[in-house]
Amino acid sequence: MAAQSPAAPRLPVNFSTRVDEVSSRARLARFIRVVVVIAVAIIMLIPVTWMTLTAFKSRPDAVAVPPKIFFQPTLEGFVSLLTDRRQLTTEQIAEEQKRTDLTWIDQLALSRGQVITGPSDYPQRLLNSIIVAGVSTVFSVGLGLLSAYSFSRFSIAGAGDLLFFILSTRMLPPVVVTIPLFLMYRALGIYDTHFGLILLYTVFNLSFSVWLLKGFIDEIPREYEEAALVDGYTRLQAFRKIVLPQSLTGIAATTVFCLIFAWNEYAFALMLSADRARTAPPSIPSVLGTGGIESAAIAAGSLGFLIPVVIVTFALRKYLLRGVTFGAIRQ
Amino acid sequence: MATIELQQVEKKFGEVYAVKPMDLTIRDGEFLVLLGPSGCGKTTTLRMISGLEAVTAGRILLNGRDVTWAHPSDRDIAFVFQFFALYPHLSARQNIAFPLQAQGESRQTIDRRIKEVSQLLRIEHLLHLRPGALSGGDQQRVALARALVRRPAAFLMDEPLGALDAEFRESMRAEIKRLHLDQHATSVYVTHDQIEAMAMGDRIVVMSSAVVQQVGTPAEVYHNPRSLFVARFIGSPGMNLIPGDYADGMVNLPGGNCYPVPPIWQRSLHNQMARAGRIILGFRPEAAQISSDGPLHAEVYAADLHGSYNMLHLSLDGKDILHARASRQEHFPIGTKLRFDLHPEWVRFFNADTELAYDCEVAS
Ligand SMILES: Nc1ncnc2c1ncn2[C@@H]1O[C@H](COP(=O)(O)OP(=O)(O)OP(=O)(O)O)[C@@H](O)[C@H]1O
Ligand SMILES: [Mg+2]
Repeated sequence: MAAQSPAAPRLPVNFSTRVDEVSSRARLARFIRVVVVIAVAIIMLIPVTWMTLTAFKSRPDAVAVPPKIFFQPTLEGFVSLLTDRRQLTTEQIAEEQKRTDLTWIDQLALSRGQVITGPSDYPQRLLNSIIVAGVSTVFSVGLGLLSAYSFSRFSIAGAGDLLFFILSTRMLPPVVVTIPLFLMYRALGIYDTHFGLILLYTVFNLSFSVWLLKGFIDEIPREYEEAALVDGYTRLQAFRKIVLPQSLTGIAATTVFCLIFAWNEYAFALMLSADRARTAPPSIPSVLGTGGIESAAIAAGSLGFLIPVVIVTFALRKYLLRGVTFGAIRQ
Repeated sequence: MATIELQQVEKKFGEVYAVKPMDLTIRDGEFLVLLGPSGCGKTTTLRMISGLEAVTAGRILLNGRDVTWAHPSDRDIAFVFQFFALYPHLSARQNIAFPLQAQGESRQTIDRRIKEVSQLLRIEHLLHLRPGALSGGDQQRVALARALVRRPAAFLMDEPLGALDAEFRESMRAEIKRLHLDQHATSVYVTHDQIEAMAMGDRIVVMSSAVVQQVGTPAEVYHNPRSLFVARFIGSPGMNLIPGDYADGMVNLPGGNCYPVPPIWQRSLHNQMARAGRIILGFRPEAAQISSDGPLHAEVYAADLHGSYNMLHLSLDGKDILHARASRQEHFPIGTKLRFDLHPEWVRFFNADTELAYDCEVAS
């Protein structure tokens, strides 16, 4: 910085904050905050990172002790996840190696002494997960929104008891009812169907979504709707034009929670589905495969399983972060 | 333009009356103020007129049409809420356009009407903002614009200034009054502030505990309160009310005071009550005239300077306090014993049991 001669006209003072003028205490506090945030982020991200790394490791690398951080990445895990394979004898391997029409995928399998017999059912399981979790989330949030609105706005006889009843469906550990449900589903012919799982997850999530959304809708002052009513709208129009836009935050939060529950659900899916409707969670461990644990394949499967939820949460982040009411009713 | 008629309209919540059966006719173009303390049923009355609350009995007529069970949107009545209730996710312009869209107006009409109304309320420069970005006064203007823009048959306003700062209130009060004078739309305005009611109302409906106490012009409710409640509630301070015993044209008051009933009241009281009995004497602070030969005597308890006048706090018997207005020049140190008279036309008498005013055949 050049020293200014006293004769020079004074420049207007610029009051914007300059890093070199921030007090050292404030800088220290800021530094500590940043360090803490980074540390927490690292702790949170380690399992995910480790899983991602493992998905790209070869079998020896995946189980190496001490764990390897630098390694030769390979798609072995993904190949074992997405294909069904057969172990070959030494002679068969030699025979196979002579062939020239092998794709890189076949070669990758062959390098482990295996031949690919067909695609695995992982993609189908993932698709089942998407159908079951997606549809059940739409239903539980949609129905939950309507019932939460009714509980919040109308005087319903025995509303308190009803709400308690709805909540009470959550009071018993789900595992307890799996056997009776299994028998019922078999009798009703909805065992191992998408419909069966969607129905179960919808009902199960409904208690949660009614309570959560009721909280959000209670927060929206009635005056907004009443203003719409006197402005010439029907109740349904007022709901659509006023309540719905205002409860987007709540809807987004509820959607994410319901989706995550339905997406991760393991016990019911294991008991109530076999093949046609089986979702991803109970099927990933079944990749465990013959002849040892396929850590890379499991990691790859989990990674694929993670992605849809991340996409949805990311898409809704705008609403999740926004405050409950954007402009307070007063100001 | 509308007349609104309430016939024996009542509202019960469970077993509790929020509004006891009430009859009221709101005239075309009138500015009617509903006044009363908190919880007396003002908002409930307004909500019943608008259709937001169903009546439990009675009928509501709008221009002679029975709208008791009509949906709020079918009544053509605008409502301005205490906390404005502007839709927070819409801009000021969209807020104002909202009721017009319900009526299916064309874009051009909507634009033209928004332009007119925002000029009238001086909010043209704010139309792009969301309510959260507006000051309280501007939010209220937008809320008024939203009510005005559809040219409703009547306006209902529930303490529209209640959420504003004191300084804003005064100017908005004048603004609302001006709007009314321009538009001459039938308006019902709720407030618990009697000064606001006196300043704004063509007529005032005084309510207390779910009952209409009196309906009248500001001057009527001020000078001729129909009940003790109205006498106390209107005016600051309210009317002086002294319990006494009436006998033979004289009222015996605390502290050995004896007040001769003015001639204009003699016959009226004689007709309306027994020869002797308990009575309550009422007079406004400005009805007291300090004069050395007055019939009443009291001691000065305290005195407030109000600039243009002094307000004396007087005590007849060392207990209950009365208020009397004295001119700016008259100073009375605390403890001064003084005599005063009451302006005979401004004296009022109330039945001690029913708490209702006695009529005076001459005074009005
Ligand atoms: N939805 C309701 N359920 C039960 N009681 C109610 C309801 N709404 C109002 N009340 C009761 O009815 C009475 C009148 O209420 P109201 O809101 O009309 O009073 P108000 O005169 O507007 O008072 P404030 O000046 O406080 O706004 C009150 O005692 C109130 O508690
Ligand atoms: Mg009120």
